[in-house]
Amino acid sequence: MSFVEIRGFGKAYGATPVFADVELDVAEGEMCILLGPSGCGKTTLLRAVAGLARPDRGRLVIAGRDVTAASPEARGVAMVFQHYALFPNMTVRQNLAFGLQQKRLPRARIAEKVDAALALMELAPRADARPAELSGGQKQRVALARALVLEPRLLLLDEPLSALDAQIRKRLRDELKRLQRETGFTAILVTHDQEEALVLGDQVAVMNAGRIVQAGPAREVYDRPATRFVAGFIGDFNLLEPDAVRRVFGEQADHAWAIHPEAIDLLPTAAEHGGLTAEASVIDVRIHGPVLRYLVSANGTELKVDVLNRSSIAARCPGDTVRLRLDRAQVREVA
Amino acid sequence: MPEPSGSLADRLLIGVVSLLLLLPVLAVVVSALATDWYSGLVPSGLTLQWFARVLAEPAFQAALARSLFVAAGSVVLQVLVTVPAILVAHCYLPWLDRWMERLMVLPYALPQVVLVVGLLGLYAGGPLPLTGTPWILLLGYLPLAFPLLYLPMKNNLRALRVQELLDAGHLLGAGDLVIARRVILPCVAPGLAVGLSMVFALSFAEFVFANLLVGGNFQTLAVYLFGQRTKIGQVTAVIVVIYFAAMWLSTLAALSMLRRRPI
Repeated sequence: MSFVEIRGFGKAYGATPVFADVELDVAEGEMCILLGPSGCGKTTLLRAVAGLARPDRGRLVIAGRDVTAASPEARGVAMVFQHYALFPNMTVRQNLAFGLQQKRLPRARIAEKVDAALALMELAPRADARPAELSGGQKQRVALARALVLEPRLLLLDEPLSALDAQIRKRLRDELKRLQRETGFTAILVTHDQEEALVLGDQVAVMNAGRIVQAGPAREVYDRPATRFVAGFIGDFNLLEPDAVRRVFGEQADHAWAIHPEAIDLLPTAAEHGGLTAEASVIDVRIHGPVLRYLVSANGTELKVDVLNRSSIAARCPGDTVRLRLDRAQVREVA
Repeated sequence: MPEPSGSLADRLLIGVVSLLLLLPVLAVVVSALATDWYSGLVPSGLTLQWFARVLAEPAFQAALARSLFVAAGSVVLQVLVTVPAILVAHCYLPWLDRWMERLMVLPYALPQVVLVVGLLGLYAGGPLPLTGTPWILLLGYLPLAFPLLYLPMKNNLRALRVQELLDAGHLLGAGDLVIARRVILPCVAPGLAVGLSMVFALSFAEFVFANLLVGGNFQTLAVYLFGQRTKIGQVTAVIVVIYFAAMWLSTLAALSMLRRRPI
């Protein structure tokens, strides 16, 4: 039995389904990512787990207790919101103490727990600041601390990083991972950012149009997308229809091929090679830091090719003719 | 206004407008202190005798007490009725909130006499026969004062993500009332302070309702002032100065409340 079990969850607003037939298992200490495009129902699903939205159908079990009908505060969950939802009239310390005060803990015990949470999140120097005086990253750390100080059985995070700028987002992402390692909390995190999902997720559940289309370890979802949608949403696949496969690689295919950009090698035209090959010409090249992203055209089909950005490999220029090489084992067939 | 010449022109404009606004106030103050100001540009002498005379007048004291009662009562009634109504509409009943926004100007769009007739009809009999009592004034000021609270409070509320704060509070184990008391009310305190000081000023100085709804039965300061208008000019000036002082004090009170809660 899993730590969190979602069984047959469904919800509709009138005739419009928000999510349907959702089955999800989250193991204790695991971070599960709900990944999907905006409007796919992932946030409402998270709110239903929190008790802030009521599912029309289905059952929810957290830590062996059926909490389907329980009120939000009786579920032992805590939530971090996209826009922090800090109490603007309270200091950081007061924000952290608020939930503990509602539990009627003794004053000394509250102070102790709040101090520990401040230390954990490195917020002690800002303990007496109000939210308006904090940066976005600090606000979200306060929101995280306010949730963790309650020692919830399950932590819910609703796009916690999406309101932050890129650099802070990466730092907070790493910090989130460190916290999870240190405190071992169980979490469900909602995001539309596939990189965030792969970095943070022990398990990734990809949602589309209110349904979970694939759930599994991050590695597996990245390597073996179950559907064309997952392939398109995760990992920036090259998606080749059967006739494109025939044109480019001269192979017969029953289904479309999904190929990771990094699975294709870029070789000089004269190089020795095994595997599938094709002639192509470079259309464009962009530097993505450690990776060079080539856009090449092979027999009229555009392909993305990622190559490590090493100075030892001479970069090719638009107009160059290259040879593409691909291991057949790297190809995922998707329906 | 173009930027280069703007600075001087702006200052000049502000100076002229300020002067125009301040001059009558100044004239009233000087007039209240004048021994005699019937001829010449300046009064012939200054004295506090008019203040002493007005303040010692029992009818004035009673009128002042009544106006303070109406103003304070109005503030209390607004806190008990309007403030919760605005909060509830904003948080749970958006359709009601939209109607509040649309209907709020109605008391100002209609001639006050029409309102008076309506109020007299409403409170003449039925479940609340209040005509001629001060209570009809308090209830009459309720819709009149509504926009004074609604607009500044909505300004504060719109800046809050109330729904998210409620969600966050619920998950932290707090009920709506606790969240309202500990989070939302403190956050709208600035707007509330401004609104209530305006409610105080309005109820303290209002004349048409006070005169037509209760008039002689319950003479407020405004009605008393109206009765004095044909008598000595200095006396009316003294009463007006006392008005100014009351407004000024209530504004100061509101401002100090704002400063105490930096949000």
